Amino acid sequence: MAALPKRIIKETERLVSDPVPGITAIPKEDNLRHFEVFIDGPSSSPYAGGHFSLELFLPDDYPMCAPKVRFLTKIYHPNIDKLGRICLDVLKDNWSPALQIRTILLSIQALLGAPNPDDPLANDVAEDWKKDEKKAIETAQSWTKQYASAKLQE
Amino acid sequence: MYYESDAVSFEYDEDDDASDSFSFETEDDDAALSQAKPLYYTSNGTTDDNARTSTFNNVWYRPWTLQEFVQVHFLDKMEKLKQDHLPNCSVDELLIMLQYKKWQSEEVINDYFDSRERLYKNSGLPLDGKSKNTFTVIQDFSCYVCCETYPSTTVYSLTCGHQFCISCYYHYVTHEISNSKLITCIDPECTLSIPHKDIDEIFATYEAKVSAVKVRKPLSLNPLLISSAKLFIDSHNTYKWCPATDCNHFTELLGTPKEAEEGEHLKESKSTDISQVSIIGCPDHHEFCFDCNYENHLPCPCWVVKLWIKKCEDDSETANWIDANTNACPKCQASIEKNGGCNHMTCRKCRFEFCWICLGDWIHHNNSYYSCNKFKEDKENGGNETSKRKYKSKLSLQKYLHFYKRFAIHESSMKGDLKTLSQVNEVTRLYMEARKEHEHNLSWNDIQFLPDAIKSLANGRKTLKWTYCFAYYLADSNFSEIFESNQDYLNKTVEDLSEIFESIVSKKNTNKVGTILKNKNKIINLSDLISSRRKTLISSAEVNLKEGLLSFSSE
Repeated sequence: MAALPKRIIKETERLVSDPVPGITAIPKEDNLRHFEVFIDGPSSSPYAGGHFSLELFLPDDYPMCAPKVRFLTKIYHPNIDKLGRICLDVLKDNWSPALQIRTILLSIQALLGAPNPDDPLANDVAEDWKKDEKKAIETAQSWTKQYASAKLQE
Repeated sequence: MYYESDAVSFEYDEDDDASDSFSFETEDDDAALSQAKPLYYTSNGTTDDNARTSTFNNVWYRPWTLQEFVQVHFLDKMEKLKQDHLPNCSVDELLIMLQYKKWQSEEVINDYFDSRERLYKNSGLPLDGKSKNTFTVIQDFSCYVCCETYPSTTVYSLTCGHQFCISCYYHYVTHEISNSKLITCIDPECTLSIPHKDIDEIFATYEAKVSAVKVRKPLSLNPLLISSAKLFIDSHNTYKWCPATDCNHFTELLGTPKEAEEGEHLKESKSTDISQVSIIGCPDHHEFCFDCNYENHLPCPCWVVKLWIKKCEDDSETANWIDANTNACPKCQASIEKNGGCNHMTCRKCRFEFCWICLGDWIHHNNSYYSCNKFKEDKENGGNETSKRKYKSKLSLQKYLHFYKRFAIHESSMKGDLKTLSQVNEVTRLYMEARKEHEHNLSWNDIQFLPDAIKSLANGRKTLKWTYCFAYYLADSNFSEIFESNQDYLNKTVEDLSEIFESIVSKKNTNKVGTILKNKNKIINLSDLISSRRKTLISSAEVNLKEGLLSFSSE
């Protein structure tokens, strides 16, 4: 495998030595571009108490293109589909090489705190969300309990 | 471990270089296809000296190279805008505004006079019009993006002052360029656009770092402008890319969109009027069909080509083969191929014994082991349904293979001809060198007949190739014989010329230049003959189709 660019080494070092509260990202031993990520649901959101597992991959032309990120834990969210794909501007058009893994994961955490049903990826969830927000939030809470409780993962 | 996070992706032709295929192509030599006729009016009402008309059916078209297109549609437009309306704006500013407004000069003018400030802000220009973009060499620079520390490197920054190393900017721009949109400062909060000229400078500086030579290219080769041109061509249906291998050129169909629509309508039906086929050419004189974006397929109409290609691609012939050469076991329906032996079959699967010919139980064939009476009966009665169908599919497979083989042979010969062409090119070069040493006193013009002859050979092959597709779908008639004899003539001439070329480049031939000169008249005559026989074949097919003397059998 080609040598890891300095940029990735530096980012990895900082992610390990100075982690963001509520977020862990650890590279896999067999591929240092492939990260195992956990994000805690924001406390004021329906995902509070949830411990979500994601995977993150740095493509060859990173940082010129965005990292590829996907939820592995099932989640009920209008901008995340059932395959775990995430609709987030900074992962697509608004990516800039000056952004980092850290900033991207923070954006994803923020997305959990602020679902946006007007720009949906999972249409059915977004519709439920718009029709009956209270019920949708309840569903999100129950999914969080069912699939993302910290105990389950240990 | 790798997955796509988004379904949307755009594909672009990666090939950017505008290299010409062969050095000794002359400008307007493709007499078979076009005559340069100046003063055609283009869709935007201007005259166009580069318009041509196809002799096959008088289609107007304009062959383009990407560089020409960028010059005419982007740079000339910018110059005009500067001269007529916005003389105070710089070239950089005008290009950025035009790019932002998708090259609509009118919109730039409107927005400019509506609110200059807003237009500048939206297109990413410094409001005071004073750009402070700089390339500076800095000692001990740490780049925020690649995290490298350089003892000395070139650093680029826009008016905002955000500095990143040239290497990061190069990779960033390379990555963004295919979006055909303005490229902004790397800093995600910053909306300033990188001027086109600076993109060239970024490329030149970076490449100079690698190759130690700084190459300056004209603005008409600017990668962002080229990429925008490609997007423009892809999104306008009056432009088509040349389908020839490694050809980066394209062609514009001239005329009003309404005409194009009517043409579209005609192509829908199974028209046999092949004068409607829009055969056009690219700047390298590759002939192709505008409608199906396939190489020149005359004498076949587009719909026949579509049928043929589909037939060649899908496995309908496999099904026909199975139908013609296998029988289903009458008991368990397993497919059985009889590859020898007598007609007493035993199914390997269910052990049922049956007669291959009548597919009846073998028990009823007591005394006639080697001939099936039932078969004779069937013959007398004209055969039963199954055997009729089998016979038919066998015939249709044979017919298809017959024509496909010839079609494929010409296709592969065409590739061989191209190889010969490059070898002849090499011989020509040697010849020119020898000329310099005064070994013989012939001029460059004296061997100009070679590229023309090779081209007519390639075109002859192309037409021949498609005559086999044509013949496959042709219904039998007296006139189909005339077509076939035209085909034979063309075939013979093409083979004769091909043979001469092969003898020139053959390894055994030690005096290649001599052979060329010796056969000069022969080559010229044969290549003229190919052109005229090709024309005869196509026009007679056209006339006979029109008058209903030739017709396509329904498949």
